[in-house]
This record gives sequence, C-alpha cells and structure tokens, in this order.
Amino acid sequence: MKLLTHNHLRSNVRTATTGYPLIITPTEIRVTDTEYNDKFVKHVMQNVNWPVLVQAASQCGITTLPPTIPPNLTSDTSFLQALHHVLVNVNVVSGVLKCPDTGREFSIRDGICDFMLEEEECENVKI
Amino acid sequence: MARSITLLAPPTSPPYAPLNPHSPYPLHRPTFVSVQKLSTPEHLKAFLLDLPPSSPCPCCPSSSSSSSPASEELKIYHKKNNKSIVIEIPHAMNCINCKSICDRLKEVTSSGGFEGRKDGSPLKWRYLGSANLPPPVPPSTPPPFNLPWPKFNLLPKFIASLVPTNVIQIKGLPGQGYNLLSSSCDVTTFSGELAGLKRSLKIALDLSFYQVFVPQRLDKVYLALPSIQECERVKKLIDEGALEPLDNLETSFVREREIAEVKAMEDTESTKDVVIPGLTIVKKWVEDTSLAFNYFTSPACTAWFSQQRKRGGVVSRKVIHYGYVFDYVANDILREYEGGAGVLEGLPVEEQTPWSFVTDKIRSSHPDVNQCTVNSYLPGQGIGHHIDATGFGEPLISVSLGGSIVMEFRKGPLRKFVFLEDGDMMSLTDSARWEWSHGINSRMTDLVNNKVVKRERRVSLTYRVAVTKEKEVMPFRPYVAKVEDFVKTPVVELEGVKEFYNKVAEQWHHTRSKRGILWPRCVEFLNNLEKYSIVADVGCGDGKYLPAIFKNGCFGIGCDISVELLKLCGKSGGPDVMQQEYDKTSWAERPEVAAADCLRLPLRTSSCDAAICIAVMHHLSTLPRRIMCLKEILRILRVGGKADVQAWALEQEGGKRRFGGQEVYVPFKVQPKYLEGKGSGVGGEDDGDLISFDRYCHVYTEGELEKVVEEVGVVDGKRWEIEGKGWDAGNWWVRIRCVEVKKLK
Repeated sequence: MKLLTHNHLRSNVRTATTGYPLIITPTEIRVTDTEYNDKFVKHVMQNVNWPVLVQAASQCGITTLPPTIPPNLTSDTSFLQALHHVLVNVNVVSGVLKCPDTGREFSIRDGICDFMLEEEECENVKI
Repeated sequence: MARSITLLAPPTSPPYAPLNPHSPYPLHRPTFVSVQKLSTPEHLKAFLLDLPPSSPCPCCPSSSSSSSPASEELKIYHKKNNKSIVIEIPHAMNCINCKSICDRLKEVTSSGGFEGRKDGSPLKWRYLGSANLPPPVPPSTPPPFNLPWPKFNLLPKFIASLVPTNVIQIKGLPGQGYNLLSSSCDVTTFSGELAGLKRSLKIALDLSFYQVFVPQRLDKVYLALPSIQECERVKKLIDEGALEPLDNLETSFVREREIAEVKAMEDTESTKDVVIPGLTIVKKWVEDTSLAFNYFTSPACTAWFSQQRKRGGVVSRKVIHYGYVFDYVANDILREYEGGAGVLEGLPVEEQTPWSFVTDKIRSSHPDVNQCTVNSYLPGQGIGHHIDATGFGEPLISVSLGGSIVMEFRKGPLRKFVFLEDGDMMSLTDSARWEWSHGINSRMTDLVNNKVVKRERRVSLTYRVAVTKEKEVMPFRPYVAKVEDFVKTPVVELEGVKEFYNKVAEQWHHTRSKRGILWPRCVEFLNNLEKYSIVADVGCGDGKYLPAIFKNGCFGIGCDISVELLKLCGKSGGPDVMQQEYDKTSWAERPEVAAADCLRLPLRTSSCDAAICIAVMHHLSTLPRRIMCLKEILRILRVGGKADVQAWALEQEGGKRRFGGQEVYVPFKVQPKYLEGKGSGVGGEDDGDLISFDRYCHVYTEGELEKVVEEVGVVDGKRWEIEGKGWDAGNWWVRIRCVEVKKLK
C-alpha cells in the first residue's frame, strides 16, 4: 500500500462516522525506485489531503514533510521529487490500518489491504 | 435400483402343497424357466438336451394324460438370434422334485462354464408365467368373489379394529426401502417393477386371478382374496416358504381400520361429491404464475428459505414468512418480532416484487389479510394434517404455483381430495377452516381421475389473517424495500462468486489475464481519461485492467472480494503480459489493490476521478444489491467523474454462450494442477480431466442496466447521468457521469 493510496482509503465499517484517516502501524516497509513524473505529482498535489499525508508519512517513519504545502516550493523540482518519493515509493508491505472511529483493524499482507467485513459489521446499516 | 425377482419352483413341505381348489388350471402343469443373457444359447441348449433324464416323479402326471408319470425330457425353446432360451420342465410348480431339478440344472449350467454377458454378470434364470399353457377350463361354478375390496366403512374405530377382512398383508418384500421419494424414481419403472412383483406372486402362490394391491412404497403387498379361509391358506403357504428364496416375510391379516391406510392413493374422483362448507376453489385464478414462481425458485431467492424448528423436529419443506413470522414451536405468530435475516417485515404490495400482484389481488377482496407464508415443496414433500392455529382468523387463502398436488381434507372418518394446479386459488372459511384438517401426503405421485400424476416442484402462497388474542385483526405491515437490508452477502453469492473465484483463481489468471485480453471498449474509456486521474477498478480480479490504467499515467486502485485473485496481481516472473506492462510503466511490482466487497468500498467519498466496473454487476443477485454497488461508485467519484459499467447480456450472438434464463450458473473448467494447495473438499465436478466449477450470474436484458442506474437516485448531493449505452460482444455497457444535484432555491 502506497501512501498515495492510503490518502484515498477509509474504513468501510458502517458505524464509523467518517473512518478517515486510517492509522497506519507498519511492520514492513519496502522502498522502491520509480520513475519521477513531475506532471503527475503536480496534479496529485492539488487533490491530496496534505495533513493526512503528513501524518501517514510520520507513521511510516518519515518526518521530513512540512505541515502545510509551502507555496514557494510548488515548482521546486527537489521538493516535488521528494514528494513523489513519499507518495509512490514508500510501500507498506505488511502492517495494520486502524479505523479512527471504531478502532476496527484492517490488516495489510503482502501489500494487499484487507477490508472484508464480517457479516455482523454490515447489518444495522444507516446510510 | 431395479430389482427383478427371480423365483424358482417354490418348495413346500413334502411332497407338495395342496393346490388352490379354485384354480381353473389343471392341477399339475409344467414349469417354464427362461435363461437369459447367454452369449452362446445354442451351446446351453445342446448341453441340456444331452443331460441324462431324471427319475420320473410320482407326483407329477404328464400334461397329456393324467395317469402315466411325466416324461423327464426337457423341452428347449430357442428363437434364432435370441440370447435366451426357455426350458420346459415337465413337472409341476410346487413339486419338491421339480425344485431340485431346477436347482440342479442351474448348478450344472453355472458350473458348466456357460458364458453370460461380457461384463461378467451371471446368467439370469427367470420363472415364466403360464403363457404357453393351454387355455384354462372355466370353472363350473363362478368363483365366490366379485369385489375383492371391502367397501370403506364408517364404523367407529374400536369396533372397526376388531373386524377381520379378506385381505392379507405381506411385508418384507425386496422392494422394501425402494425409495419412491428419491428424485430418480420414474413412474414407468415403478409400474414395471410392480407388474413384475405381481406376476411373481401370482405364480408362486397360485393366485392367477386374484387382486394384488401394492402401495407406493413397494414395501408391502396386499392380497385381496375371496374369503378368510383363503387368507389362511395363503398365509400358511408363505410362512412355509412358498416365496423362497425370499425369506423374512411377515404376513398378517388386515383389519378394517387398516384399509383406510391401504387406500392411501385414493382417486380424487372418489370424493368429488363430498361437500365441505367454506371450501372454495377457483381454477386458474392467477393466469400467469411464471414471474412469481421463477422468483421463488431462482438461485437468488432460495437463499431466503430456511429450515424452521417445530415440535418434535424440523419442518422439512422450506418456508418464508411475510407480515408476521409464524413460529412452529410455539404454534403461534411472533407478536413482538422486529425482523431479522431471511425474513422480511411486511407483505409486498404495489409492484415491489414479482409477486406483489397476487397480494394486491387478494387484499382487494380481503383487506384483513396481513400475513403470508411461502412454502416450497419439492416432489415427495408434504405437510402433516393440521387445522391452522388460533392465532389466525379467516379466511385462509392458498395460491398454488408450479406443480400440481392433491390436498386431503379430513374430518373424523370423512375425507375429501382436492386437486390443485398451477394458478389455482383455494379459500377456507367456516367449517373448512375450523373443523376440517388439511394436509398433503408425502409421496411422488397423485391419483387424479384414474390417472397417475407425477409431482413437480411447487410453491404455495398461504395468505392469512393474524389476529390478537381478542380476535382483533392485527395491523397491516407493508413491505418497505430498504437497500441496507441487502448489504449482507447472500449464500448464493458467497458460494457462487466469492468461493468460486478463490478456488479457480490460478486457472482464471492463466486463461484470462496472462494473455492480456481486455475489453476494447474499456481500454478506449481508460485512454480517454484525463491524465493522472485516480481510477478505481471495482471488482478488479487479478488486476488485468490496472496496467492499462497506469499506461495512461493514471493511478489505479483496485478492489475485489477474492483475495486469491488479488494475490495474482502483478505476479512477478514468467512470460506474463501484465507483468511486462507493469515493467514498462515502472510503477513498482505490485499494483495497488485491496480486498473489499463492491457494496462496501473502502474509498473516501468523492476521492476518485473515474471508475470501472467490469463483469461485476452480473454477480449480484438482487436488485437492491446492484443499486447499492452503483451507489457506492457514485459516492467515491467526485463531481464530473466518469464510470464504465459492463455486464453479461442475456442476448448473445452465435458463439458459445447461450443462457437459458437470467439466473444461471456458468461453468468454468479447471485443470487439476491449478487446484493444488487449495485444501481438501475443493468441490467441483469431474469433467474428464478437467474439474468444472459453477459461478452464479444474473445476466442482463436490454435496458435493465440503465434501470438500475436510474434507481440509484441521489448520493451525497450527486447523481448519475447516462452518457452512453449499448451492447458489445455479449455485454451490455453504460457510460455514466457523476453530476451535481442542483439545489432548488
């Protein structure tokens, strides 16, 4: 699970109010090296939830992200490269995702997150 | 399970049993035995004719003259090219010597190495009837019997039980346990068996012209004889082994009361004049029951039926309750029931389900009706006699769908049989409801106007009026379709979709994805997306569309219920087209996937730019679930986002796939090597070298997918707008866009 993906994930337990963001407890992280694409990073930066990204990165051991997007660095290549790295190269291979509202834990195994719910968690639904 | 009774000449106490004085046939007649299934009948014939003659039998005069002893010559009859021969043994049937001759012959032929069939089955010896005998000499006085069956009597029980009759019962015949309740029972086979049994009995007991009655289960035989003395004679014969090699037979005299049970297969004709006040039958009250019947028998609906407890066991037929739940243990409705799995709250009305029209029709003339029990009867299932509980008032209305059935009404010794067919309505009030009990016999056939009618699958809708203890009608609870109720995965999908994909994942990946065969329309959709979009692949399987997403610079997140398939995403190594695509985009070795049900996506609201849902909608078994899936996709898309939805079509062109209906099980064949490591009890059916697994599908008709889209309504201030639709290569597709719902000022 990449941090960019984590930014879009939320708990699907129905009793959760928002279920976002999920708290990461990684046990194995693999860092890969992918090709940098500046247009992609710029596009994604506009839509990504920055505070969540910062928090998620720090849960994975990366504390170097600024708390808000520095406006002067939005075109800075080195900043964008670092951001690309954080978004896409940091893979949580195994660990646990925890719902902030209900405390329900979702496991990550071999990079695949498990959001399959038990039947009991699906009843008493209110949309 | 066909069994043939091969009886040889029955021995009795020496020298022979007294013969039936009423028999019109000559006292002694030759025995005919056939030997069947020979490969070389001519050899056996020659062999038998060469046998040394046996000593003359003092008890058996020859058929031509009654004084000289019978010639010991065997007569052999053989038709050219026939595989069997008939041996005429010139001794009487019940002569002890003849039995030994037959036995000796049998022994000699089996040890003589005469070959039977190639498959090694033994020679078949069969006792023939008197087909070749001279015609019987009619008796001077007519036999003292006409109606073998005593008339059904209305005597009170305690007297009835003491009255003996001229019927004897024989238990323990080979047909015992011949299970007519098994689905493989064929009425024609049964008739053949029955005829064979009757024939053998008549021959053995010399009852050529008496009546033999065999009830449906073939475990008992009733012989109606002219007098009680005859009964005694036959009983004695059987007890002394007249029906050898059959032993362990139990004969008993039948008393008056047992006749009622013997006549279990009464013809409906016999009670057509009985009138039950309050019983009304309307034939073909529902003209077209197919929608309702197909609904209840579809794979999706049968998940709702459940076994219910009752006093002393379990109700074997499947039931489902609407309006109020009936508890078979308490024998009353559950008055404070709040709902639960498998049971819906209210009675469906106003076109909410394919069978609401029946409810509407009944309630328009009987507005008190507030409860319905749906019963599913498989052939052979019935319901015990009962009068409906006092928790219900009147009327009791039953609508029959599917196969026909005979319902029996009882009041004391009175009976009435009612034949109900598809679409018939039966209404019970007054005496029919309160005094007469009703039930359905558990058997495979019914007797209607002298015809045997086979039972088929039947669904009955029983509408009732639930009342309080003070006999007031309870409030009507209408059915409200709540989408949330259907979020729980039904059994048909757990087994037919999730388990299926988990088992066949490897073979699936091998045949589908490795070769990189993608729907061109979907690829076109993905190529036209705005670059760098976040795309959700709902039901991604082994992620075969993810490379196409990445190729375009987009970021894809896939979800699927099958963890086994997800594990095969981006499987590294080997000549895998997908893998090569991943390597080209260099987006790391495994695409982003999560295990999740499409009805409960773990994605944030309005977080994705596009979504694809390929070959997923046809795995959802009910309409609310399909709506829910599209609702979820609508929720995760931002305003302006687009989705491409595709599902199997009922309408196919040429090709291999042709669906019998909308609810189908589609097989998928797997090579055993792909099933290794899947654990024991993998299931599936053997198909030569391949194992076949079935997946559940609901295939769509024209316009159905669009209707589901329209039903989605508004989610988070957004709704769907259809941008395109069509049919392509056996699939219906829609392109839909998420638009904002403008608030009215």
